[in-house]
Formats: sequence, structure tokens, C-alpha cells
Amino acid sequence: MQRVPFRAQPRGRLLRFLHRTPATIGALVMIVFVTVAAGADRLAPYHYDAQLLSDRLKPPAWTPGGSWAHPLGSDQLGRDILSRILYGARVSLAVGLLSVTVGCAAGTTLGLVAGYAGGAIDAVVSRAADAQLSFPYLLLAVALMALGGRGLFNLILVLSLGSWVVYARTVRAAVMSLKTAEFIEAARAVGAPTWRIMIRHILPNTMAPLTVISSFQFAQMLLSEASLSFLGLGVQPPAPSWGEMLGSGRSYLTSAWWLATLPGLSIALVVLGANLVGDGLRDVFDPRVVAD
Amino acid sequence: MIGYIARRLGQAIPTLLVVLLVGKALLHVSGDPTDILLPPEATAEQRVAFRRQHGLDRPFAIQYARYVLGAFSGDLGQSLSFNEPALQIVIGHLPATLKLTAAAIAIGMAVALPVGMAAAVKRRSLMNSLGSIVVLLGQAVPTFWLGMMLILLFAVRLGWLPASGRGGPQHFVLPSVCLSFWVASLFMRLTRSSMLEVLSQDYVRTARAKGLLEWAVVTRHAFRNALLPLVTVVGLQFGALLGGALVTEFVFAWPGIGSLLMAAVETRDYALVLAIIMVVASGIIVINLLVDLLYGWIDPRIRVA
Repeated sequence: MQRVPFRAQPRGRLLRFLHRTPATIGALVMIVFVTVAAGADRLAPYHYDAQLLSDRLKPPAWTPGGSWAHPLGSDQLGRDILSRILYGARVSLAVGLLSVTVGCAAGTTLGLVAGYAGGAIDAVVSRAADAQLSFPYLLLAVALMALGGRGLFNLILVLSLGSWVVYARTVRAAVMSLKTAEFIEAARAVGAPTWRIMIRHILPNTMAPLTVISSFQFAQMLLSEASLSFLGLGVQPPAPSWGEMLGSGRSYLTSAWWLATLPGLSIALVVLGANLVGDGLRDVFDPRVVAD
Repeated sequence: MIGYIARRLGQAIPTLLVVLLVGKALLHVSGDPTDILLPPEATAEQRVAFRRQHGLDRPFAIQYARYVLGAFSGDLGQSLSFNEPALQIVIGHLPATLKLTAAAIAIGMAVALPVGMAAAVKRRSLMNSLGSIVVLLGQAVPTFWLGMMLILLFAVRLGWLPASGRGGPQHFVLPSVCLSFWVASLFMRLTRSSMLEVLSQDYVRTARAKGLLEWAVVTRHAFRNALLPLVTVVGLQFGALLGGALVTEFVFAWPGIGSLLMAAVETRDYALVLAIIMVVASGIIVINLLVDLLYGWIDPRIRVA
């Protein structure tokens, strides 16, 4: 027999969220990175593409041969690693946010329509979701980026293709269960048009799961973007993205370890932060899931 | 049983056709391969002849129909950079990828199952905390970065293992360990939550009440029932695993499907890209079918009719 210790829970969602240490840590990490991304041009000592060929491949300041001119060292073109990581935060977070937004909008719309209309539309959307889920996303993304071209617009499109399914499925399931609820019937009885019922009555009821999914999806988008950029198919140079920095640092693995180490650490930290926030939000929004 | 398998495979055909259509359509809009494949000094007659030889002068619908018909007889076009049938090249690279993923699954499971079980049984233990950390890191650390860090440590600093390529068993260690980390984190989380669920069931209480040893309760009564969700996830996550294999192969220059895909993208060998997509899509469909059949073996209650 397991006894669940009784612990007083603070009221209010924000307080309950902050009551959890990991969630608070995650939120702090995210705040730091968002601040860095927003203020990259003020915080960075150099422009991300400023090349100083006399300063090529300088190690970080704390190692022999390093200097505080480049606190985290410099790359093969003499560009400052710290500046590139700071600007890279802007690129990576923006791409992640945009693709989550597009994926969420597309998935939510499809889920709403499929769940409410049912029938043939539902069948097509559900089959498409199944087909996509059964296929390795990264393979698809590589092929699509290669065939469709390596622009930023394409990148966001391909990334959001990886996230619409989760939204569509969640919203569809919510709509199916809400469709027969009394308040929906009441809305229909007073003559509210279908679009109004969907947007004003059903959509707000799916906000909690959508918020939770979005923070996990944001982490996923960051990882996918990093993978694609690492393979040379995502963000294109000279724009700095953490994945792209790792990709070009790969050739210098034996001689300049700092090129491939530090940007990866940033990716891991942000993804960890977003996942912790997601865990915390899930606990807060869905009290049935006991935090363990 | 045979009818069920046939029906499942039949359902997969529309999916494959759509995958093909999207691939072919993208290829079509991405431009004329003649410009890439023929030298710039090729004459107009040579270009026309090349287009006719490869059927590129036909309308898109005809090209698509021809490709589909060919696909059913095992012809996925000619790889233009290898100058061999694309399907043959893909199949040639398949064993390396399968070996890598199989090893990663084996290593990952060997670590994850005991740790996940222990974490569920003793919720306030070192194992549980350790497991939680591995789970969090496994989901946050990019596979390709982990690969590079492993190379940096074990190949560059310590010099114990080769950094890349294929050869003896020592070449196999780093790539499979790298890929297994993600597998381990996934399975640890699942084993733990699945075990927690099962351990609170009545029959577990009964087993304990009749005086069985705790390990017998955990392994024979609980674990076997906790397996089912694990098997489902193996099927669902196999695609993600192949995605991880793709970047792992790239990092370690492991000559599998992932490296082949990157090479095909680099040389714009689109027939090969399409062939890889088709082979992988078919493989995933077969794996999902196998997983469904495996259910019946684990849990006879849901054996398919």
C-alpha cells in the first residue's frame, strides 16, 4: 500500500507552478535565454559575422593560449564564439517559436474541423496524421529540404510539418468529447453559427493541453532545427544557428574542441528548460497526473 | 491471421502512393535534372536524347504512373551518381543501419529495463534519481552532439576507440552507444511509469498477499504486464530511432542509409533519395505490423482474429 503524503498546494496556477523546483529552474533557464536572444546585439562583444583572420581558432580564455578578447574562443574564420552563440539564440529560438506557431495553427484548425465535421474530412485528416506519424520525421525533413530548397521559409514549413499532428490529434479528441456537451447544444439551440461555436466555445476549452504540448513541441522544434542545420540543410551560413555552428565545428573536432562543445551545451540547456516547463505546466493543468 | 496481414499490407498501399506522389511532385518542381547531370557543354540534341532516355519529356502524370508501376516490380529507378539501380544500392546499405539500430536498442534496453524497474519499485532511491537525470538528459541532449563529445573523449583525448568509419568491432562501439543513450532514456521513463501503473493493480497485491518473494512479484507478475505499452512504443518510436540513426551515421561516417541519404542529397541524386524514402516507409509499415502481431504473443487476450 502506498500512502500519498498530504502536502498543502498553494492556490493559483502560477504559484502552484513555482511550487515545483524543476519547473522553476526550467522557467529561469528559458527567461535567461529569451533575454539573451532579445538583447544579442547589445550583449555580444562582436557582430556574429565579424571575421578577424589574425584571431583564427583561438581557444577559450581559461585555457592556455586563450584571451579575454574572445571569452569562449573563436572559430576557423576568426569569429567570436560567444557572440555567435548569443546571436544563435535569437535564430534558434525564433525559428523554434515560428514553427511551433505555424504547426499549432495548422494542427488546431485541422483538428477542429475534423472533429466537428467528422465523416470524410475526419477520415482524410486522421489518415494523413497516421501516415505522417509512422514515418521517420527527420528523414522526411532532410528529403523535403533537399528537394524543396534550403530557405528559412522552407525550414519553418518543414519543421511545422513535424508538429501539426500532435495538435490535430489532441484538438480532434477534445472536440469529439465536447461536441455533445450541454453548453454546446445550448449554443446551437440559440442559433450560434458553427464557426462561432468552434472558436468561442470549443477552442477555449482546449487551451490547457495546447499550452502543455506547445512547450514540449518547442523543445522538439529546437532539436529538429539543430539537426537539420547540423546536416547543412537548415539555417544557412553566415547566419548563426547552434546546429550550424556544430556542423562546421565537426571538421575541427581534433584541433579545436570548443567549436563543437559550447553550442551543443546551449541546445541541451534550452531544450531541458523547455521540457521542465512543459512538465510543470502539465502538472498544474492536469492535477490528475500525480507528480512523481 | 493471413487475411489480417494481407488487409494491413493493403491499407499501407495508399500511404506509400501518397509518399511517392509528394516526392515525385517535389522533384518535378525542383527543376530539370538534365542541367545538373549533363556537362554544361552538352549540345541541345544530347539534352533532348537524355530527356527521352529517362522519360523526362513525358507529362508528370505519365512519369508518376510509370514510376509506380516500376515500384511494384521492384524498380525504383536508376541512381545517377552510382549508375546502378537505386533499390540495389539502398538494400546494400541497409544491413549497416539495421546493425546499428539493433545494437542501440539492445544496449538501451539492457540499461533501461533494470533501472526503470528498480526506480518504480523503490521510489525514494538513488536509482530513481539517477534514472530521472538520464531521462531528462536523454531528451535534451542532441544525438549528434553526444556523438561528437564521445569522439572527443574516447577517440581524441583517450585514444581508446576509432573516431569513425567501419572495420572491426571497435568501430561499432561509439556509434551504437551514442544512439543507445536516447533509446535508454525513452525506455527508462516508459518502464518506470508502466511498472508504477501495474504495481498498483489488485493482482499484484494478491501475489504479495499469498507470500511470494518480492522479486517474483516484480519480475513475473508485474513486469510481464508492464511490457505491453513498451512494445507499442518500440513500434511508434522506430521512425524517430531511424532519424537518430541518420545523424549518428553522419557523425561517425557509418556507411548506412543515413550516410547514403546525405550523399544522395549532396550529389542531387534524387532517384536515390526517393528510393530511400520508399524503402524506409515500407520497412516502417512492416515493423508496425510485426509489433501488432507481437501483442498477441505478449497478451493472448488481444490476439488478432
